Parts: sequence; structure tokens; C-alpha cells
Amino acid sequence: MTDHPKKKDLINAALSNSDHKGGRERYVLEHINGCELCAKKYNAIISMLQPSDNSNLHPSDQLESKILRSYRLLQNDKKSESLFSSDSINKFLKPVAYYAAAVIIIFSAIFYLSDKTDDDYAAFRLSYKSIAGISKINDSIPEKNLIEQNSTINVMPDSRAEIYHKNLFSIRLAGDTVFNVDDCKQNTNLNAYRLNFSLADGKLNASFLHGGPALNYTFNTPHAVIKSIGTEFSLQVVNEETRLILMNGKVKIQSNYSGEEITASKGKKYVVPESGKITETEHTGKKLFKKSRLQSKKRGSPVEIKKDRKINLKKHAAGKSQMERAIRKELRKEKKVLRKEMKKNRKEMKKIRKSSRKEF
Amino acid sequence: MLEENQLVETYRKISRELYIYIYRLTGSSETSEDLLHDCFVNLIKYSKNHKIETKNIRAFLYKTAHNLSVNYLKRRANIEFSPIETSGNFSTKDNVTSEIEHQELNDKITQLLSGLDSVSRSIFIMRKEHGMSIQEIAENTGKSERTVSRHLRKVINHLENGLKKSGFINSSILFVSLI
Repeated sequence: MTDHPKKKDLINAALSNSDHKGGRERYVLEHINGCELCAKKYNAIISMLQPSDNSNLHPSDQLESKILRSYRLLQNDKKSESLFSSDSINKFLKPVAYYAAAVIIIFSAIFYLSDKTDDDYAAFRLSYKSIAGISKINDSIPEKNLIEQNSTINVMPDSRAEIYHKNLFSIRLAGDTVFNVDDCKQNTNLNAYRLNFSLADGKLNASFLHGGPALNYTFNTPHAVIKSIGTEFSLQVVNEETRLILMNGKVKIQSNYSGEEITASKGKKYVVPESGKITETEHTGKKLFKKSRLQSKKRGSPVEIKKDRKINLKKHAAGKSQMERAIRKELRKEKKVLRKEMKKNRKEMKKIRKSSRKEF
Repeated sequence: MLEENQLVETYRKISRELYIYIYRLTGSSETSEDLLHDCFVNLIKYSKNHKIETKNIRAFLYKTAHNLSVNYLKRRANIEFSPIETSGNFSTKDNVTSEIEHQELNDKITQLLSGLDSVSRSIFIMRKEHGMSIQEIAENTGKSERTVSRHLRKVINHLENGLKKSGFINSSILFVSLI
């Protein structure tokens, strides 16, 4: 047979053991005996498989003792483990483990379900917005614009922040305010909300929607508890007293010290001191903030607002381009002048060349 | 658990062979000793919870050595060519020139091997240094015979191409000094 074997066959023949050569390998070897070219290829492969000289390679003498040391260490570990890993102890521990796991599962189920079945109110997250400066939620700068219940908002000095939920309510926090969201739950079946807040220090301005879903909210301060449904008021804790200005709706104020409870009237200012009675005066001052989120909606529809913005932008752009036009005009004039000069220079150069040629 | 005398006997029989295999794969004597130590420690730990027969210890150690070496090579960011500290001589003659040629060729083969994946290198070294059959290699690495022969063919083709490019062999004249 004159056909040379394929490279793959040569490799297989070189790899197979001398005693266990199959039919194909024998054919290859027979061919090699008669073909010098294939023999050279075969020998090249064989030489690649020749072992290196490893006579100088030995592991160090210390390795054996190192391994024996490890062996003895592991042997000692085994002895100490065996006291606690006997079959009888395993038999006892297994049912205890199963029982403990079952108890944990049952209690966690009860805990989870109780939260859900508590009048079918479920926790939800409020929206947060930093209007100016820096505010922190739970001592860290928030990455997302959502607040969960049991959160503390710290508004830094010269800063403002807002907490709101859709168009239902808005709470604006002034600088240097510490405000807690203790509880915020929603009952989707009844379309009702249950909210509990605490103002530890600072000022806020709150607005709650009238005529919408039932908003049952409570504001706690160190000195008073304010409860209401659908109201707008201003609340402040300062100089060891709580001050309330009622702008709209009805509010009940209860002093933590005297237990006195009164229904606040619109347009009045109330002060709850640390000790003493709740005092009522006429409110003549301004609100904390000019516009609340709910009020700003009266400005116009979103489409109108967009139109206004477009007009403003055009005006701004027009002003800019006038300057640019003036600059461009001047540049054009200068270019014209330069071009005229260049033309003159070229004419002169032509004349000079002509005259120089004539001379030659 | 393995007995101490059994461990010592196994160590004295197999340690050098394993050491050469790991050394040819990793290229470092310190690393080879560490990995060899880890192989025996793994054997001891395994024997604590499982019964292991004497005839299976060799295959177990080779498998462990293969896995540890491959993992070590994978952990290294670059599989660079690092010259082996005591390169094995390929020479079969006393001629100094041919010794140098053999040295160069051997270094070239090592360099070419370093460009391959660790599993192929491991399989090739088992064949080259210890002359293991495909069946033995398959047992030691936990792969099928077909996979092992595929790896070996791949390595040989790779070496051949590399050696041709670098002028060690061409189609007609092969490294005659080695035949």
C-alpha cells in the first residue's frame, strides 16, 4: 500500500503502548518500515514524548517529616472529635434539631402572618425628596428616593426635605430637623392609610388631602400628640415646647404632661410647654414654606408648564445668538478687509515678476 | 485512617514520581513540595472517613496532584514561561554542541507547553515523564480515554507547529540528534 498514513494515525501509533497495538497501528508501523518520510515524522513524535532527565529532581528530606507531623496532628484531632461524634450522641441530637427547626418555622409563620392580618394593613414606602442642602436617612445619605417605616430623617442646617405619598399628603421639613417615620401602613381594601410620625426637634409643614382616602395620622413630639384626618398645619419643637399653627381642617392637641386635650381652630397658634397649660393665640406670621407640593399643582396643567418652559428657553437662546451674530459680523468685516489686501499684494507680486522676466 | 507505617511506605514509593510530575507542571521546586505535601494531607483526611485500598492509593494521589496543580496554574494570572531551575538534559551524546541543542529544544518544548491549558499539560507530562498509558492517565485524571488521547494529540500538534516555526524541525529534516 502506497498511501501514507494520516498524521492522526501516526500520533495514535506513537501514543499506543508497544504491546497493545491495534490493526491500524500495525499497518502504520509496517508502512514506516518502508517509507523514510513517514518514519521521520513518526520518530519526531516519539522524540517529543521522550522523558526529560529527571535524575536531579528529588523532594527535600524534610518533606517526609513534615507530612508525618501533619499526620500526627490530624490523628489527635480525630481523637478529640470522637468524644462528640459518637453514634449515640448523634441519635439524640437529630430529633432535637428537627424539633427546634419546627418551632422556629411555626413562630416565624405566626410572626409573618400576624403582621399581615393586623386589620389587613400592610407597610408601604413613602417618597422622599431633598429640596435643598443635605439630609440623611438613618445616618446615611439616601441612594433611593423612598423611605420605609422606622426610619429617621436628619435634615442638616440650611437644608430642606420633603416626604410625600402621591398627592395624598406632603410633609416639608426645615433645616436642623429630626423627624421619624414610625409607622406607615395602607389598607388597599378600605383605601385607608395609617401613619405615625415623630418630630423630635425642628420644624415641619404638613398638608393632608381632604375628601380622598382615609388618612389616619399621628404626629408625636416630646410634649404633645397631634392627631387628625385631612388637615394643613405647621408644627415646631423649640425651646422645650411644641408650637402648632393650624391653617386648614381640624386638629386635636393633647398635652403629655397635663393630659389636657383641645380641638384646635383654623388660623390659631397653639403652644404646648413642658409644664403648664396649652395656650392659644391668633396667628399673624407667615408659613414656613411658600408653596407646598399640593398647592403648586394649582399653577397649571403639566402641558401649560411645558409651554412656559419652551418660551423661556427660546428667549434665553435668542439672547445668546444676538451676541454671537454681532461677533460674527465683525469677523466677516475683518475677513473682507484682509482679502482685499491679499488681492492687492498678489497683483503687485505679479507685476514684479513680469518686470524681472523682462530684464532677463 | 491510614496507619503511619503504611503512609511512610506509600510516601517512599510514590513521592519522587509525583514530585517530578508536579515539578514539570509548575516549574517551581518550592511549589512542588507544597503541593506534594497537600496531596498526602488530602490522602490522610480522606482515609479518616473512607476506606481506601492500597491499590487505589496511587490513582488517588495522582488525581489529587493533578487537581491541585491545575488549580494552582489557574490561579496564576499569566501562565508564563519560567525556565526550569534544573532543566533535564536531552542529550544522548557527550558532544557539548549537541547538549546545548538538546537544552534549547527542551526549553522550547517547555515554553510551548506553558502556552497550553493546564489540563492538557498535565496529561502530556504524565505521558512524557512517566510513560503512562492512556488508560492509566484516564484513571489518574478522572477523564475518559478518548478525552485523554484528544488532549495528547492536541499537545503534539501544538508542539510540532511551534517547533517548526522556531526552526527546530521542518518537513524533511527532523531533530536527528534525538533519534
